[in-house]
Amino acid sequence: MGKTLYEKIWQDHEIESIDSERSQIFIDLHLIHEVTSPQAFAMLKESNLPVAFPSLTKATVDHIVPTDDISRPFEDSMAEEMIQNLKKNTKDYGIDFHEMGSGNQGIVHVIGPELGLTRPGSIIVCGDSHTSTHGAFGAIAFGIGTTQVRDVLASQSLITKKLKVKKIELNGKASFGVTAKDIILYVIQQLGVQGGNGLAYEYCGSYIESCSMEERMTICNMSIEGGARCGYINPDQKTFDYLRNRIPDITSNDFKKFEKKWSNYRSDPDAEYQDKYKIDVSTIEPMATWGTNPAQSVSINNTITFSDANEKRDSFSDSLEYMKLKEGGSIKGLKIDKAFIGSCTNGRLSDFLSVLPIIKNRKIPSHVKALAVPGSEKVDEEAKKLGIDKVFIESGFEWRKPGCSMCLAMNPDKLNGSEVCVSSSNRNFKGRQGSSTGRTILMSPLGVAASAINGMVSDPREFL
Amino acid sequence: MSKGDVMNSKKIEHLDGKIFHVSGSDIDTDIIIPARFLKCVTFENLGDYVFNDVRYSSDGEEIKHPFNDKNKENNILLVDSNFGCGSSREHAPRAIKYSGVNFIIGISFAEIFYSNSISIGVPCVTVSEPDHFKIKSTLEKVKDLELVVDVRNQKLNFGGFSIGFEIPLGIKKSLLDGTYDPLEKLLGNSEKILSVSKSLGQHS
Repeated sequence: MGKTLYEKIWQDHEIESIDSERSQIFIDLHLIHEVTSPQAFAMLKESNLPVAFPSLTKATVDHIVPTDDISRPFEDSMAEEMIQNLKKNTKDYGIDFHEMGSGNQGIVHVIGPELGLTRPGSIIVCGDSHTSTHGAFGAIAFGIGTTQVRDVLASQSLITKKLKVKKIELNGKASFGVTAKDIILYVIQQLGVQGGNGLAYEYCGSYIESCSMEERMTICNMSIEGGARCGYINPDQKTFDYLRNRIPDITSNDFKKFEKKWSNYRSDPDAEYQDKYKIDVSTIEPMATWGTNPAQSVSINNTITFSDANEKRDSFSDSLEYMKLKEGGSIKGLKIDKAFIGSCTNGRLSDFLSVLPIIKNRKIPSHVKALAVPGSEKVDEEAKKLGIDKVFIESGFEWRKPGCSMCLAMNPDKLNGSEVCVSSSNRNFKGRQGSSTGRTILMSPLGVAASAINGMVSDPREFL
Repeated sequence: MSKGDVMNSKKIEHLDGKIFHVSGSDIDTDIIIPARFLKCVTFENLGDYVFNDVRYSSDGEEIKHPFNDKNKENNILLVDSNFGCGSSREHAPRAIKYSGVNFIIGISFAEIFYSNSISIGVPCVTVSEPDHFKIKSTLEKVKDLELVVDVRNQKLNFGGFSIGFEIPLGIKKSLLDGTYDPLEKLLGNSEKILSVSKSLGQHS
């Protein structure tokens, strides 16, 4: 019987089977940042433990960094303390720290692939649930808590449950103006926020094969919003081509050996899956969330209706009330206060390039505050070489410095009161963007750009 | 690989106390502990901020919420389905733990929350929807409902009822023998870790 990529990687990495569900597994790459690492290092110190494999942990700072004034010390004394804590810990334990000004700093799930760290056939963990992003390269990648960060630092391993795999087959061509973000929002809407609980999602099909690596990252990034701790795509020539120039000091012969090894991890045609879901993506339209979880979304031109497939009436009503919307109403046309293009979901170069046709020679209205936040110093540098930042600035966006920014309110980029923000990020939970009455509407970068130009939630196809 | 000074955790075989209910499905980690409270280098004080933004208005006024009504004796929390969805932040179960809760019963839990909570010694167990309804409705009738948890036999005893809960066998064993914090186990396998690392072409 054939095996899935997940089973093959698990097999190679298993150190010991603990019980019928869980094993101790080796971790190839451990990414850390300033929010979930301090207490883990403190636990290590308390127990008098060294870091077992310092070269396999890589650090950066992303959640708490300001995106405008990054002079030190940061105005936020807690943020300053956290970055200093990370700097000290990485120095004490001999861990590489990609800090601001190094040319490599950025959102942890943006820099991993850029630096050639994210590779097929590996197990990658980080104290952040969007670690699933790295699954785009054919890796088992998932988020962990601080105690597990400690486990990985101390032993380069952890004990975790082996997941079953659900095949998400996406075929056909995305329609005009429809992006990978719209497609994954649609899938989550269909399967629900709990749909992936206990499962890894394997995304495949002709649509997935046609996706660029950055589109694949957007899709895998959102797996956790559908309840799947881990989501992946089988590696192929696109994966190898992306990595070819990003792995330092490797000969072309050695790279060929890697390609062969990586190809062997692909799921076998006769692999068995716990469950399957298959759709043709061509009927999917630009999406927008209307509610307070990522599954509460709707096609831009449809009205908000209740379906009991994945939701109870009272939580539907509760979310509508919070968002100040009505059942049967539209999300399109809702006036916005802020717009955000960035995050580990959609903060890569292709995301910024994609909106140029919408914003070029157009200006956002004065009542909208719009932020364009590159996902990393590399993205920022590339964008500036191409002059993209200037197009954003001319249309009224603020071009910021790399970081998590408005995704989650741990830095100064926040909402006030019940402001409405269209966002290319991944979560629209109540209070997510920093105000306990703030309202987040998740869209693709195209949707955010179109909405920013119109000053209200809009269909991006209007401008394309 | 060093074993350092790793201590075993306390065994969890029985638990008793008073139960309280926070209702709502899909309660996410941003509700449990808003992100601004994650700006810290220790876990101290997290207990003060649990469910902060649904317990206090933006003017600082108290809103009616089970975490505001509860007293020190309410240490067993009843939740609904998909509790703890969202982030992998361990700050969420820690905030609940430091507010005085040491056991959580629900219809279902988000996976990362579930494993984080158990590793810090706050077991999460699941019950069927009918049984959940039984606990919930008994709690509505009996203020300060007392509940006794029998981990070994997987029973919840309250108000004359005894209902069973689900827990994977391996996790149950780890509660009973105090190994739910896996660090000692992990470090004990140092030779196997090295051997797997070599087979994968990784070096220390």
